[in-house]
Amino acid sequence: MTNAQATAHTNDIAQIKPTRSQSPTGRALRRFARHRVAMLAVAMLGLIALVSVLASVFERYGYEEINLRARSAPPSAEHWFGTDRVGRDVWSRTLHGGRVSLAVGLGATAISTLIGTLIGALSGYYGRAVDMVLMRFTDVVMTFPSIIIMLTVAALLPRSLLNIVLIIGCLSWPPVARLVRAQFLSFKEQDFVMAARALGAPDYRIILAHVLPNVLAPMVALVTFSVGHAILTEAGLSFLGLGIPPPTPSWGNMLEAARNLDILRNLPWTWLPPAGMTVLTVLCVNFIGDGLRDAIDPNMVM
Amino acid sequence: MVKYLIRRLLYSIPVVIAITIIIFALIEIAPGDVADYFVSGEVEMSPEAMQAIRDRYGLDQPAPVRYFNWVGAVIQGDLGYRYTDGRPVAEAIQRRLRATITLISAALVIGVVVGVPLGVFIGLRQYSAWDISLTGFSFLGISMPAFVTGILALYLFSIQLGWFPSGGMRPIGRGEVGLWTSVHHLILPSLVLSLNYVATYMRYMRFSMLEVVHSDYVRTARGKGLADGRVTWRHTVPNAILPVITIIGVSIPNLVVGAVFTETIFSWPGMGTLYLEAVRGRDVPLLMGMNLVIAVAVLGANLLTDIVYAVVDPRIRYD
Amino acid sequence: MSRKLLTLLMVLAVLSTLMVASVGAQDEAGGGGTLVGAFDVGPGGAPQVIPYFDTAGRDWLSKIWSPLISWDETMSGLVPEIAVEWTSNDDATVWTFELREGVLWHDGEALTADDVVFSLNLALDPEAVTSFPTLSQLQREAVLSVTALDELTVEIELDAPRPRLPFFMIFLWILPEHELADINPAEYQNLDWFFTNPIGTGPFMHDEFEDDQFWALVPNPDYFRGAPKLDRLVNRYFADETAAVLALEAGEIDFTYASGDVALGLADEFDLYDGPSGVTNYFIFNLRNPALADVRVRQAMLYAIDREAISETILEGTAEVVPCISPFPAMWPEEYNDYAYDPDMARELLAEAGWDSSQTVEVMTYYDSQFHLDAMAAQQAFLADVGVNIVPVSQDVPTYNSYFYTGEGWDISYRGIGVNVGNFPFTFYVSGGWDTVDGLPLAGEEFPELVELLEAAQAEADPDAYLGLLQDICAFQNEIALEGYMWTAVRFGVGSPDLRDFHWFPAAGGGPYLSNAHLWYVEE
Repeated sequence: MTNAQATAHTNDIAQIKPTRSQSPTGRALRRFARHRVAMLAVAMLGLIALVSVLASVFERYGYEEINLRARSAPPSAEHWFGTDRVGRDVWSRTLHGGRVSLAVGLGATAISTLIGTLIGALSGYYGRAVDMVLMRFTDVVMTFPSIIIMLTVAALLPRSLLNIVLIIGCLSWPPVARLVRAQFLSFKEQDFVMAARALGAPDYRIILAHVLPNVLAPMVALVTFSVGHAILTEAGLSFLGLGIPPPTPSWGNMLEAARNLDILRNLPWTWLPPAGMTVLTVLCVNFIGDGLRDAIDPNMVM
Repeated sequence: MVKYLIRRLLYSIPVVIAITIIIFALIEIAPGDVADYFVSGEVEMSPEAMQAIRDRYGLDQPAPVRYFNWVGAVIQGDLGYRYTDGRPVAEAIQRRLRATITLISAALVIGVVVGVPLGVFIGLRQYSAWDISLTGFSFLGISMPAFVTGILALYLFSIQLGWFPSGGMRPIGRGEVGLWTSVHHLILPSLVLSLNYVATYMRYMRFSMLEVVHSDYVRTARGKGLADGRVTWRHTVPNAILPVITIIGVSIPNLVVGAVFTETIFSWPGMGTLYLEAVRGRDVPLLMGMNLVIAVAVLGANLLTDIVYAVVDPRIRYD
Repeated sequence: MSRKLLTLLMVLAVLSTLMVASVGAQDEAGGGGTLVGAFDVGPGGAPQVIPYFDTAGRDWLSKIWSPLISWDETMSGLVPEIAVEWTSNDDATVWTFELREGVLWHDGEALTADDVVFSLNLALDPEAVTSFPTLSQLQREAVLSVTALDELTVEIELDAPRPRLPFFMIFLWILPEHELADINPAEYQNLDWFFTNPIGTGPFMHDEFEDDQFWALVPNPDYFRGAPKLDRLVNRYFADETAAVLALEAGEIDFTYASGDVALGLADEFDLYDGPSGVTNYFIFNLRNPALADVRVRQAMLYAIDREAISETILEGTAEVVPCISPFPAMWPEEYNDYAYDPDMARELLAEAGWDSSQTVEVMTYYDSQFHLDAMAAQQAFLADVGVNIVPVSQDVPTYNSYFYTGEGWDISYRGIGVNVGNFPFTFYVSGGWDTVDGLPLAGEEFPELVELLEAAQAEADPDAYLGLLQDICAFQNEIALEGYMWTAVRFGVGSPDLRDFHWFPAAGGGPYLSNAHLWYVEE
């Protein structure tokens, strides 16, 4: 083509504005949005979270309100999920239980992510001695079945929401640490990091501004799965009588009542809702995590 | 390889020691001791009796002294006696370990035998109806906590339908005790426990299959005109199964740790429930003994998994 | 030949008939079938305990070993076991026990006074037994000497008058001196003998034991009350009550304890064995807290909680409201304040006392059964209604006990206590009873009037006067609402309808009480 035609062609091309963002985040989000099941799970989880947070709005009776005349009542128009053996409204208790269970899930995950990222980053970035010590420490925590340590600590500390969050959070960080470390190990040798170092940027800036953003991508899926895991762990601890103490409802301690034969057999409406909600919530979280992982993995064919 | 093994073993020793120290410290910090456990409101004990218990077990001695006494005994092969009932710790652990290994290995076997082939199956049929429904099922399987599955199973299959016994390892005092009755008691708890394994292994196998199916060497094999079946079984599956071995290996420690929820619900006297009892009774010798056994078993299982992985995958080299 | 042969044949015939008859007579012991029970489920049970380490589980122990004295079938009086008669001198410092004649150990040896002396010395040996609950109140120093006056008489000399010593002797298991004389007391608790080859004098003998699974016994044909009818008696261990009840329903066992709500649900298909638990559930107030030291506050709390309603509904009518620490009506005075539900009165009293309704008070407890959790939820609601905000805090037993007896770390505690005529919790109400931080009684205040009554009761030898003093103590407690007395519950055992002549009673710690196990049998 002639020079004039080439210039015109180039100008024409320059007129074409990019219609989509080219950043990795944008791309991942778009791929995620195409994952129908994951989007459905987001919607469901959003609904659950909303209803739980606004529990006071949706409840019809106080969750602590007893009514000895309406005890052990099956579901009805008055009490949508029936009442338990002291006449408390199971619907309200399920709502408030959701609050507690979700809070534990998010809180524990926040703690474990923080600790894990810190340890993994330090370990991966500084390497050698620091890495050795931290990884041996991680080995100890990770090697040991967390259920054992959790049972021990949960039985020994006073039972409270805070303690449960701490216990679960402080024992679930090793997978995060290992992932972050692996990412740091591979990234720190890359060109842009070396360039930043050559330019004299301080370590913490390099870590925060350059390496960390690239590490976050694969972590997202892991963190999501951690939330589900934390919710299940709280439910398990409460089931054994080591978790959130009554009368505060949590889905886990509402299930603890099912260890009594009378309740297990004759009042299924008191324990099926928290069981179902736990499974549904964790299911949604797992779908979302799976969708995120598929979306971020460049090799996955969507 | 041998050097690597020796290094791993040497590293394991301080890890085990660290774990025993941490557990001991935790129990020391905990409020209450075995004397407090014996007291109940219904049958009063006098302060003198409680002090006598503490004297007998040396509970008032400083913690480091008691720890080193325990270590000294362990080196001589003596795990001591339980505080709560005076029975030997080693015997209790042995018994419960046998019960736990039976239960968990049954669940693991079901998990591998059912989960892995299903994972291969749906890995080859991405987005088919089979894939979607089984994947959905596997999500359910990993989302259901073990005790929910256990309670539902107990409720449905034992209480309502009466197909399976409600608990225990075998019938006692009544009728024939044979292989079938023991297996009959094992079915429900092991199925409940295996659900999580089947779901997990199926998912990982599927994921791994998908990765391998799209990889270059498989496409090359297909391109060369090899039959699908040959490609699958001689190339795809052997490569896909490698990461899954690690995942299976992660479950091996459970053989020793037990599954406390399933054991509780089905009255299976295993390590999980023994651990709970030990914590509730502040039974220091039992707790220390159990943690020692578990630590050794876990480290050993991890090492074993890594070795198997190295043997199976020639690309892996440890040095 | 024929006559001699005939005589020989006749002799043989007679002999063999005699033999068959005697074998048949021996077979009268037995033929009653196999009874499998969950005897160590519930508050009175404790699996795999051995004598003198039994804070509970005594029901099963009494099948193998016999105590010196036992409770009767309904825990209302004492009956002879190894001892048939007991007398004391005038000031109850020397007690003499006459032993039963002809008692044989399971290995055929005869029981003598030496066995009793041996057992009591072992029980009080500081090297050996360390968790002997009630007998430990006796304390080693209190027993000056134990001697065998002759083959069947034992004399115990004490340092101070103990009019109710026989009640302590319920817990004295008689062990065979000829088997255990050479053991090292420090290793007593670790003896394998108890589970491999135990020798006792009880109605049943050891057959088979499997840790965590079961303990099977066979009848003792020489039992001093008569040979047992059962062929086999098995105690099966369960992790919890639900598992045991499910096994009962499936026909795998014949008997178990079941909590009230569950037991009542089984009443149609099974036989219920019930009795008073002898345990009072109550709030103990820590009077070190000035708000709780005010009698009006305590009384207000009693008026505020509708204990009758809770007993009727949540506890399904299986509980009875109590006026004081004693659960048995025989120990109550004629007149007392029943603190009938009156929330207005409660609010009035609280206002008078200047109660601050913005504060929350923790109520510590070790209970984790659904029954008690439900009851506490109801208590919480009732109290909140009048402006008292409590927060129940459930803890495990060692944690709870680690601080409760120091007198600090708790303001209110919801707990249970077993009380009967022979066993009154004196130590709770006097200084020095427990090692509290300030040396005061457990609840933080000493009431001279109460202490006077307690001391008089402890020294009183006459049973009627003693009961009268217990009633006075009850009246005192009731009047000032010393503690928040709630109720005493009925406890249930559930058995297969095929059991005959079976007896079970919810004795604290399992008794021991007269269960007449030698009369039990199972209808085919």
